[in-house]
Amino acid sequence: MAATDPDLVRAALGGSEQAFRELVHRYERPVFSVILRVIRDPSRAEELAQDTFVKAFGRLGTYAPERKFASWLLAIAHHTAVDELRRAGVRTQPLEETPQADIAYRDDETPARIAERRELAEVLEAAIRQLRPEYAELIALRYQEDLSIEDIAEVTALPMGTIKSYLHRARKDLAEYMRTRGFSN
Amino acid sequence: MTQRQRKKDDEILRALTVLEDADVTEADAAFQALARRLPKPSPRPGFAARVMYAVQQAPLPAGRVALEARPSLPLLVGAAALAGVAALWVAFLLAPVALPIFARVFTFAVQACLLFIPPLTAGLDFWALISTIARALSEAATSPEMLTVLAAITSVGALSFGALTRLLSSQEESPHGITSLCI
Repeated sequence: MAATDPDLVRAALGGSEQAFRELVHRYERPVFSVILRVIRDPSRAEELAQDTFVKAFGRLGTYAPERKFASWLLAIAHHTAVDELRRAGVRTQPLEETPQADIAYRDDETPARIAERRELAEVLEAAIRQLRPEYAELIALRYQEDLSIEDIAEVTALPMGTIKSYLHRARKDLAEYMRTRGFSN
Repeated sequence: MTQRQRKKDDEILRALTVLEDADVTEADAAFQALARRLPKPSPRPGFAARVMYAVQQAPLPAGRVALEARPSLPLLVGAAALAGVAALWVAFLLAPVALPIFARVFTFAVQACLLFIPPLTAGLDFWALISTIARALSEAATSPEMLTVLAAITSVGALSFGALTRLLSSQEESPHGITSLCI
């Protein structure tokens, strides 16, 4: 049976390199994904994801096992990304391509269907890239990482009402963008 | 492009219909379905290794234990097996010496047994019997061949014990340094 996150944290605090490496393996993609939504520069996002894990290791003693480790870690990632935005002072340019993109397909899909799904994914991805970074981050946390509104509030330190409002506006902007690209009902 | 209609499955139609709806639950579920189609960005390969290196280079917070690679169970089993093979190999090398010694000890044992009979039948006392046995054993134990074998076995045993102790001691927490041993 796989060790739980609190078990791995305890082992890492005891000096186990394997335990911390396992935590990095488990959360490297969500941390990178959330930072990338804010920063939009893959190289910089990767550096900041690395910084996030270094900070997390330094603060590992402050992690309370009753909390979700994912929320605790993503909160560090969120603050790291926001600090970078503030430090840079300008909004970074939207990505043209997402690195290491991996779209899952079913075996029984026809080439036409796969092409259709790929096109939709590309348009949706482009639509998210047009959003304000804070909206894009909430979209990633809510819909890509499956966090609850409560968890997102813990990560971003935003009131739940604000998060719901931002998500509603983000969905509206996305729908509008997709309509302009011909995806209308 | 703006008015181009595309053939879409029910999931997409539903998502586009409710995306703006005030019904948060339905919009949430619909967008969840759409989001599954999004690419999942990942950092470049080797990210975890780079993170581990950065973590080990960063200053250690006060009171914290440094990360340390520890030998895994398979490694310990491998080390024990290696020690066993080494012991067998030494035994094999010493066989030409050990076999004559074994034959000699066996002869002594037989002679000792034979020696039992007359004293027992003659009613020799117990201490005479013990002294006879002790004489036979001491004669065998003090032979140069037996001493060589004992020394060799002791050396192999000490080396194996030392190796296992060192491996096992590396599992204990160490507040200083990081070993380069990687699993």
